[in-house]
Amino acid sequence: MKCKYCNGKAVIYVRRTRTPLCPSHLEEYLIKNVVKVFKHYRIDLSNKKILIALSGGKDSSTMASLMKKLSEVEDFEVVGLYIDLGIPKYSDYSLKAVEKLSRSLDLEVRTINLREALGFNISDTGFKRRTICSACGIIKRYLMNYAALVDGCQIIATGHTLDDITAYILKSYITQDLKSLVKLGVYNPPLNKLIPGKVKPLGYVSEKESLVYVLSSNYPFYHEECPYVSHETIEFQAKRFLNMVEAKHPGIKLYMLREYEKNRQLYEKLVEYPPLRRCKICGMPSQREVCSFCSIVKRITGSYDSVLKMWENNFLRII
Amino acid sequence: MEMGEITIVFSPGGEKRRIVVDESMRVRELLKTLLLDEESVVVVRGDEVLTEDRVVRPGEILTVFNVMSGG
Ligand SMILES: [Zn+2]
Ligand SMILES: [Zn+2]
Repeated sequence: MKCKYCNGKAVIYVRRTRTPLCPSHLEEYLIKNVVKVFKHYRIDLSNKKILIALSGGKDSSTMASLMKKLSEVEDFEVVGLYIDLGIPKYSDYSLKAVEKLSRSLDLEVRTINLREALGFNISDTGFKRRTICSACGIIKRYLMNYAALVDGCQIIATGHTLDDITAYILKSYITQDLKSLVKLGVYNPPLNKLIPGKVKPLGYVSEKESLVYVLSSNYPFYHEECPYVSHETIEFQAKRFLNMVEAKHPGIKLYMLREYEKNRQLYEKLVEYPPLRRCKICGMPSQREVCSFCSIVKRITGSYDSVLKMWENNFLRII
Repeated sequence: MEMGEITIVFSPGGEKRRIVVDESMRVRELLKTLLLDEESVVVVRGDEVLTEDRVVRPGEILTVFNVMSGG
């Protein structure tokens, strides 16, 4: 199969556009899709500093590479963040992949080590697997906000793909969880000065496109699974189901996301939120008296001391 | 007739499988043999990403990357 644009050897056949692409035209196609996200949501990047959330996996490596390349021709700055959760082997290998990626892209990356910043690893909390995964999500989101605030970033970019977002949309339809449903867009604007905007630059990019990109362009990534991951979750099964539908109806995931985006404001009208207040421990926006992050830290360490210590110091390390 | 084995390494996991093939075949046919859907995996030989129309031969070692990894 030859690339549609240059006759070079194709590395992917994009079924939804019926286009075979070589590595460099795949990159061009992906960058165009990232730009579409910023244009669609009218996200002004000029003079902004964007925090690139890195996990060591394929999707955040793809996102980092595309954002770094865009930053070289546009008027914004990028800086990477890796959160070291202290999961034996998995976190070490992921960090190694991030270090290699940082060198390969010439991208400045900060790390924050959970044990150093808060005094515990996610693995020695004694939590059950399901609890670990939800705690991990809360901790990562909070530390991303912390890093963005400490480092002066106005936007946080994560590596979620079209496949991730549509799987979560389907999960929310199945469970009729409207509160989650309204938050699943490709872009969530800043809530206030403490919560920066969150964007998913790969919102219009599939996981297969992302994987082929890192493989064919030789970008470092770690492809093993987190030991706590479960294939039994609704979102994992939803992703499998959507892959089967996509195989018969190429482009259906993108269609689903676009239609969701049109209806998102309708869903928002159906959801009632308690007024946002400040967590009485850390001062971050929260719907409860004590935010979920502070509650988890208290549950694990027995006190709120490490949260306060974290905010008094800068635990970001440059790698 | 070039009967022989193709070695397949799955990622993630590193599980190895050897399949006996009569002759060279296209990636598309190999994936059918393995009951895998073209959209959910990426096949790599050395550092070369193979599209579904590419030919693989007995004696080769391929890595099959699962697109859906629960990272
Ligand atoms: Zn080309
Ligand atoms: Zn708090």
